[in-house]
Amino acid sequence: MPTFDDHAHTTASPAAVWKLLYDPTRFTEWWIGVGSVDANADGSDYTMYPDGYPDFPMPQTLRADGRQAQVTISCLVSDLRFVWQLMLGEDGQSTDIHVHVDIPEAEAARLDTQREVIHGSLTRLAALARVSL
Amino acid sequence: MLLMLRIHAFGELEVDLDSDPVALRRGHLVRSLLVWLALHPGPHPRARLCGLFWPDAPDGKARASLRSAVWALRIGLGSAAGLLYTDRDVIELRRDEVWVDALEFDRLRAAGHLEQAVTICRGELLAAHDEDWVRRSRDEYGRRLGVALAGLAAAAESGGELARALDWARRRVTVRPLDEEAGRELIRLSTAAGDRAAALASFDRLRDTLRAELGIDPSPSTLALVDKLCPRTDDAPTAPGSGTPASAAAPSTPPAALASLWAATPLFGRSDELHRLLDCWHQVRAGTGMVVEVTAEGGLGKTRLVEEVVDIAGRDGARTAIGAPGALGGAPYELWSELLAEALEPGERLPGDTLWADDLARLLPGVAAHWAASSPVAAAPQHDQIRLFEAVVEFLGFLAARRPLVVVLEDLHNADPSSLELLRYAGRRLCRIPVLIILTRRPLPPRPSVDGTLAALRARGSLRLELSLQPLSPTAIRHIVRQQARLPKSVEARIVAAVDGNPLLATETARHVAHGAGDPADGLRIATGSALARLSGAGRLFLELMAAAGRDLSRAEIAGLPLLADPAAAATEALGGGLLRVRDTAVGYRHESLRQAVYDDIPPLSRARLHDALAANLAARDTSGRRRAAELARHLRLAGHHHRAAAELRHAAAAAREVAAMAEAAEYLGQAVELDPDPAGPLLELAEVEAWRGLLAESDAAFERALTLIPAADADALLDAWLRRGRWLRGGICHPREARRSYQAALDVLDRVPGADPWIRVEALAGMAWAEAVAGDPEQAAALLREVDPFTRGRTLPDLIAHDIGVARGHALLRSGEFASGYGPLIAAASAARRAGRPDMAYSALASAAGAAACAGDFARALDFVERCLPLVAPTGLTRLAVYAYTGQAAVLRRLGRTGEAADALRLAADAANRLGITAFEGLVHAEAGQLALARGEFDTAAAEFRAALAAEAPISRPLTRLRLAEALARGGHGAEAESEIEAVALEPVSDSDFPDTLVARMNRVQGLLAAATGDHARAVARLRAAAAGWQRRTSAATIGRRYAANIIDLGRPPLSGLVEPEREYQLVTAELAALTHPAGSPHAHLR
Repeated sequence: MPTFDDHAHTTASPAAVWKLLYDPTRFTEWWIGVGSVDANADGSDYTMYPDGYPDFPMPQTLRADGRQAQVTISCLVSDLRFVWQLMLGEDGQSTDIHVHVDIPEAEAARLDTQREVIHGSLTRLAALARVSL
Repeated sequence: MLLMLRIHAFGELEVDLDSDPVALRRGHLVRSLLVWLALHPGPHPRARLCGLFWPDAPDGKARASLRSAVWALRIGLGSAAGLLYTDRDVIELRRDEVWVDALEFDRLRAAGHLEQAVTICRGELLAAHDEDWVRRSRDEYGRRLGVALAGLAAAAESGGELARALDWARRRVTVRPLDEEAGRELIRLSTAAGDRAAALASFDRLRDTLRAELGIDPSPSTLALVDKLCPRTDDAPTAPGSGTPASAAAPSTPPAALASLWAATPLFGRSDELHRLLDCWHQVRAGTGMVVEVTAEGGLGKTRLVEEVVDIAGRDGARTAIGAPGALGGAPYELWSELLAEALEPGERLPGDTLWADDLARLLPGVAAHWAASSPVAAAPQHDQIRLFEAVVEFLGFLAARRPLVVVLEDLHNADPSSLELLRYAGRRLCRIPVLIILTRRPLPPRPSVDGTLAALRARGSLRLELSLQPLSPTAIRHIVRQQARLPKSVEARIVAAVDGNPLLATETARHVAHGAGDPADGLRIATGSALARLSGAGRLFLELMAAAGRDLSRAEIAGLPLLADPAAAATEALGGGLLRVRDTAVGYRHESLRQAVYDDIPPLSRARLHDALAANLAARDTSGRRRAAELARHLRLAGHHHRAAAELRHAAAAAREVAAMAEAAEYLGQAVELDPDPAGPLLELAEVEAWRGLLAESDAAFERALTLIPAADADALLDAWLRRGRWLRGGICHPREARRSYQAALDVLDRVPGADPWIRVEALAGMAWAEAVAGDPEQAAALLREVDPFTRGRTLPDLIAHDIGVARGHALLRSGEFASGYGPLIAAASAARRAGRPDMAYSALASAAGAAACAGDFARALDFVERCLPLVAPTGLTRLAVYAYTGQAAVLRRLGRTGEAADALRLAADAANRLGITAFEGLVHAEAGQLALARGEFDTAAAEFRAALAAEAPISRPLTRLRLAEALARGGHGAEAESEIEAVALEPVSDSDFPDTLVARMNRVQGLLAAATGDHARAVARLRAAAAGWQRRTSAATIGRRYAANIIDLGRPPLSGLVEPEREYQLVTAELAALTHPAGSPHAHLR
């Protein structure tokens, strides 16, 4: 199974990043390719619509893993899996953001695209967090 | 005018006041009470005196009797009545103006004025009395007088006054006729004086007395002394005080040189440690219970020191008992069970109408014969264990109410896990009852479970003294050597150098060398070997059987020992060998190192023969119980009978489970798996036990291994395995997804078995429906329940099946958000569980109904359900569930605005949590106390409670609690601290039961409150609007139903205290927002 990892650093506090990561309705502000999120989303189960495809629902689950202190977002259509993890920066104020992505074999061709999308999204998430709190 | 009350307790009691006789009432107890108070200066609790003097009387009657006796004493003392101080709690005889002959005897003896001291002793203590305490004190003063007379005899002999020495020795024998050492000394002195006839007459008297009183013969050393009756030669070792040592190279030392073979040795070199322990005992005597620990390497004298304390405490009136683990691994609670049984005196009765006495009967089946215990209420192991522990705590309190209690738990390093858990539980509950628990242990090798237990006691302030014994000084070792044998100084010096401060080694080496067969450097194993070599074949065999038995044996057990023609005679001989000792009514090795040394020297084949014989002996006995199965299994295993050992290990595991000793059960089953040629059965049992211990990985490993051993064609076995797994994944571990897999597998097997018992299918369907309802698809759950209907329609269901169906049906409805519809099935489930005698399961169903009502916003109904839970858990000793129930009751009352009653419920919750001593449960109570304080506007209190909850690692939502803490701080005016807590939320672990989708909305609200407090109006409005939008999205009933299930899975209970109400939160934020945007008339003053 193709996988990759990426990370970013932001001077924003973990709380600022955390709020963006735990609120699917704000994914459109930083996750590249997400056009909209169902406004009636039921917490951890919600539906994303790709940018430019308002009739193409992609149900997702958001799961929090207490032991690993990480957020896992799984796409129920494509089986893509994104595992986000936040750590307090060495200065005790900033935040290191890590993401691990699993891509099913059947969609291995999307690896490069996803790598690019996630890197761009990380950058936007870090920047948005700096101004959000 | 200064008065002096003089009490002559030796002989017939005489009391005078400034030489005028005091006329006391003739009743024995009044006189006895006066002397006891005189001999025990200081204030004494009335309860203790009642227990001591009227042990069989009910408390109220005993107190009345005490009042009456004190009144009579005051009348008798006349003008000296003021010396008797009394108040509601204590009684004391002022010591300043009281003279007591026994205390004067002690003072003179301690000052070295032995002759004056013995002159005071005009007879036995309180010769006309027969109370328990009098008999104990009389025996002790007899012992002290004997020691003083021995000292006088030795001084006279060394001063050349042999006739005078004989006089003292004769008086000593008169005072202590059963003291064999005193008899030998008289024989020796008579011989030294040339009076062979008197020596032999003394021997005859000694032998006759021992036979008549104790049923034993004189020891070999006495017999050897009488055989010889001849003076020492010049090259023999010297007697103490004779001045001239013999040659250091003396090849042999005659047995007559031994001072004592089996009398307890005096305590040398531990006076500081003894005083520190006695300080603790004095505190306990005054009413403060505690635990103390004595640590030392083997042989450094832990046991000897502790026995001295026990001896003194016993003479002071304490009830005492000692427990020790078996050397080869014993049964659950082994350290405690005999000790507790021993502490109950013959004829003593427990209260007959209490739950704890019934539970105690399970732990002490031998003692249960003393009262008619009823059947205890069944419960899951985690609840059962707490009830057993509570029973022991109650029992300790019962015992200590009559007399202070001193118990010794020996060799903690070898203790079974259950005994350690019980110690951890009971040890911290002692501070208000006069119980002293003395622990002994070796520091190495490290044993984390022992360290953990001690750390827990230390953290609770119960472990009040930790003594570490160091090797003894050369001077003390020299004293010990001299106590054992009179050896040339050069030999003595070599022993002192060789034993490195170890008193056990010093004792054994001195005896070994004194017998002329060894060298000071030989070590313990050679010393024990030479001790065995001096015995006959029967004596040796007895010692080897004792070593293989691995524990002390009672007289009855000794009488039935196998392989011996005359076990009693062999025991008498072996006792003379010096390696054994008698403690109370049992015989055992003086030290585990001695037992180990003897055991190690038994050749392997002989060892197997001994274990085989002991196993056969044990199997033939008509006994049962935990110890028997575990012990029998051990002997069978060591005898090489592996199959039979495996069967007994399974019995031992079952017996362990009956007393909630799951760690031991797992250990036995693990051994059975290794020994059983067909281990599928023990593996399944092991999987179940591990699940009840909360160890899912271990449970699954055993289960998977069992599955590989069950033939695919054996449908019954497969069905049984999968159904059992489904059950334990709903009880021991709440793991609905895996439970669903088990029930599915069971149903798959059932599909292959036409004509299977329909109730099995019903159980599988109901179990799977429950799992689907909680963690899967609620519609699928409903479909499964529809499959159940045809089986159950018109039939009376077995109670547990009815419970399972009710619970599944209820949860399926709750999960779908149909909360009110779920009440009926859950109530039916609770009724079925009650009929099945399972209050814990009934509680669980009703608590679910309470949670459902709370989720529906019907708090009055929720309160009704919670209050129906309370009678199920509080009177039945289900303390963990009581914490949940009271905390839930407090939460519901808080939501109803009845905060005063909520505080009352929380006090009961805190009391139950405190009894448990599990910090997580205390944290649970703190979390609800924080919410109550927040609701009352007591923000600083709320912040403190939330902090305590977070520190306790309670089973609560940590990010949610931290956000509540941030809110309390924000509203209390501590903005900076509130900001810090908000930052900390992001680093907390989050799980489904934390309602992660609601945390952002809650955080936005707190940030809005903080912004408002600093006057940042725009930011406050923005944050509150974001919060309102967040809450608004979460108000569907289906969402709440899923959260309800997450709460059960992650936190093990339905949501009451941790309930999140999106609708209410939304309204709250909306109102706060309105206060900012339309401040006029808003009730939210804190935002204006």
